[in-house]
Amino acid sequence: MISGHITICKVYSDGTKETVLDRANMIVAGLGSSFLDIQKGVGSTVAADYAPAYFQIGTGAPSFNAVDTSGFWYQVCAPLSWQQYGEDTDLTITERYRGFYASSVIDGIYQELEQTKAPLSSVVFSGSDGYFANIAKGSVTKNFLDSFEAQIVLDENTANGLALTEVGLFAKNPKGFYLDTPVMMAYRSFTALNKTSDFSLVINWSIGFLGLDSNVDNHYSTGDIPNS
Amino acid sequence: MKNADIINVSGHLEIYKVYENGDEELFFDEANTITSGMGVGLGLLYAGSGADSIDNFQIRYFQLGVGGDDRLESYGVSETFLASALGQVNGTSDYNSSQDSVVPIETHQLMDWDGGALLDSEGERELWNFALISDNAIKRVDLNSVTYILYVDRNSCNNLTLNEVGLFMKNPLGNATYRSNLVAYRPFANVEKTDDFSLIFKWTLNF
Repeated sequence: MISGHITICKVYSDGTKETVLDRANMIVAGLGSSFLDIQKGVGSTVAADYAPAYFQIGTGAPSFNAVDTSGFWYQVCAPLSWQQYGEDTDLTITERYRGFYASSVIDGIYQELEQTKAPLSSVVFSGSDGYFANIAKGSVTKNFLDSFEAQIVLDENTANGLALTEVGLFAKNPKGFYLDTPVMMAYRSFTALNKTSDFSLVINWSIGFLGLDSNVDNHYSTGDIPNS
Repeated sequence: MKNADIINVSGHLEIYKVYENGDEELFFDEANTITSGMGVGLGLLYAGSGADSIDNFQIRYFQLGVGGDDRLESYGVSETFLASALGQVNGTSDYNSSQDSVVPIETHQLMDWDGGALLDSEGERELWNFALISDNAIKRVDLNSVTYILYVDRNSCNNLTLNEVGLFMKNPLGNATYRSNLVAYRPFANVEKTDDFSLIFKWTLNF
């Protein structure tokens, strides 16, 4: 029902554009659990903390059979290090404490839940350090009333010489901790894409009730809806 | 590699009659429809273009109605209002049919599909009656599931043929006058409500 769609385009300096990915993505459990935190009044009290504010690019791939995935997935497998984003990148890279849910129900070992559920009473919110790229506030918008769109740009000076294979979108700080603790909202792995300085990568992400309601989908909101 | 691309936001509704002697009768137990209004609320939240205060995105109201029999075969994700919500003609007395009724009612706007305020069936008022869902009626049953328990006591909604119910998000636009939007909806078989029994709706949403 809540679905996601991602397009990745190479954009060359002469303006030519080449679409390299135009597919659905994986909406992960963090999006739903954060929304239910709101319902119970146990998450952040600030709406902006639930919006996408960070992303990670990676060079790994999940080991599970993604066709059967349940969406209980909170990480980019091999996120880039601070150095790998590149010295001259236009991105702002920050170290943050990535949030995830952990439990000891699997083999009796306390660990991050990956592709499995656990009883609520056995689950705790935990985290680990990682490097995140900031998404500018103006890069998240609405084209339709029942969805949102985020745009990520990897400029010509970013992540060059790497074979990129995955990208993850993270909410800012849905638990409302003192420092931002991003939680993954959506994830996509893809065929290796060799990033060079010849092009920028533009990633457009749409998430919501895509294509389900013609009334709403035909109403282009341009970010505003009637307010009085 | 192909990734699963959806969270199948689903809902399940159980409706019980509870008699004064404690007997319970489950007379409805089926899935419901999550409406596009849920997407509207989520879109406003995640795009940062809605209310600033997070409690405005909580599902805190429900409505009951008497026109659901017309929609039993045709309802869907596009519903933005009940076919015939209580209170449009008789006001709060539809819910509070006796002075001993304990269903708390608030009156404010209902969001239409384009975000505007919907007029009631009389075409004159933008104000609708909503029954309040209290804090303790919201139960987190799983990391990705929540159950709302809607209680309609023996002294409420009597002498009405109830057949539809909807859940509403509080005020995702953050308007000064609340404007709630329908996020889940279900018509059900007619129930002639009397003071012989209370109605309990157990509504579970899975994300």
